[in-house]
Amino acid sequence: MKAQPFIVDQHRVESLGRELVERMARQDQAALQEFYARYSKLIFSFVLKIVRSQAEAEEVVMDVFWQAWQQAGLYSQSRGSVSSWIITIARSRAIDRKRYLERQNIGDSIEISEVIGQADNAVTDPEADPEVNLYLLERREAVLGAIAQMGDKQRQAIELAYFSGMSQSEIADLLKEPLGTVKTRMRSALQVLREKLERYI
Amino acid sequence: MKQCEFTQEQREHFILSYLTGDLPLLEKEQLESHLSECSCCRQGLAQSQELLSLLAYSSPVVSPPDSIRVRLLERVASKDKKAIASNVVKMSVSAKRINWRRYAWQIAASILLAMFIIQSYYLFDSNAKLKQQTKDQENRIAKLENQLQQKNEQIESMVKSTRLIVLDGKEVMASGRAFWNTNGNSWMFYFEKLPPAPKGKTYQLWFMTNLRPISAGAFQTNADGTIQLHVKTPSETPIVGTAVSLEPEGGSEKPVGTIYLLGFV
Repeated sequence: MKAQPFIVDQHRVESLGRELVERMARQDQAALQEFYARYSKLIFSFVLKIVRSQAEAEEVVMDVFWQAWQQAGLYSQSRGSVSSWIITIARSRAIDRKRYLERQNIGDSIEISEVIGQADNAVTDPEADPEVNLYLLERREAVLGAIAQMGDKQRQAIELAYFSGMSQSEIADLLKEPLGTVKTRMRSALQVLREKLERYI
Repeated sequence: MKQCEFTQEQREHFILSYLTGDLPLLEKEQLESHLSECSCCRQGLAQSQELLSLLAYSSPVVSPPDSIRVRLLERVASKDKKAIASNVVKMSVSAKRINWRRYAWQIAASILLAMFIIQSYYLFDSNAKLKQQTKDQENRIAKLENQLQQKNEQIESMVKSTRLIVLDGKEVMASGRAFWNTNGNSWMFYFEKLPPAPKGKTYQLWFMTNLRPISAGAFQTNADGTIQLHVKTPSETPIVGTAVSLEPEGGSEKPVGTIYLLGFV
């Protein structure tokens, strides 16, 4: 079946992202403002899902964009897209923070149901850039569609690895499953992502 | 360019283990060394990272409070000395628009005083902060350099004292590698593609000396035919080889079943 055309031109958005990072590398503060406007909603939502605390997510997001501002000159297209670059920084920072909070024995200060309750308002936020909203919405629907194609156990394994930063051995211990089974599930989940989302990378 | 030794399945297995932090230090370094030579695996790693990063979009969408943007821009501005200097210039330009003839001396004095106070405060504050930051960074660098040196020494020692023994499949497509830490007197075995042991049977690992085979224990594989084993070097030496055989349940005193894997030191 032929894939549906993109609503938002993905290559144009990525190319704009690269231009902004190049300008940030030259210490252009206007570029940082635009970069923040384009990616902050995605990064805040993602970090909030990992750390599950509004106050902690705000601190982590500040640090993520500060790091992007300082390290913009180190970004290289050969190592991946701009969105993957900023997501990778955010994941690393958020998981570090989550582990620190767990070590300090600080519990969740926001319920995930509260987060989901705020979600619809945010997607249709009339003050945000319509292209940014559409881009986010289109990718979100595609990713949720791909996840829906996975079996429950495949989804559980890949989400524990990605959002909780757990190793495959830790997941096997947690689920009381053989390591080989967890590895097979992770591989199958990655294959589903590849099959359904290859055109987004 | 080195030709890639991995099948697609092996590549995905290694890349996922690498990304989830499951690879032991030695294997991680071997894979990183391989990645530097193999564009196929590098591309596979980059593609997998891109795909996994798309999972971020599945998060319930929540708008960040504007206070983050404001604080971020303040932080950037506070690091920019030129911005403060240009603000002072703007202040003096806007002052000219007032009835300067009447208030010229007062305005000039106020501007100079304001500039002096701002610059003094800024210089004093930034000087103290920079001194503290420099001290912190120096301490951090010294600590990291120390850690790096220790790690390098550990790695150098491990590389020097580790021998690789490849075990070939004799009956099936199974394969194995053994890393012999001659200093630590331990062996790490990685076996792949071993078929599940039939009911009533078990795999058994052997060390071979010039005199006799010595059992290192019986084991079963994971569902995907892989297994990692960590065993101590037996007291009887010299070790001339190592093997895996299929034995009756409970193991044997000497190999009586089929030899599946065999490698020589």
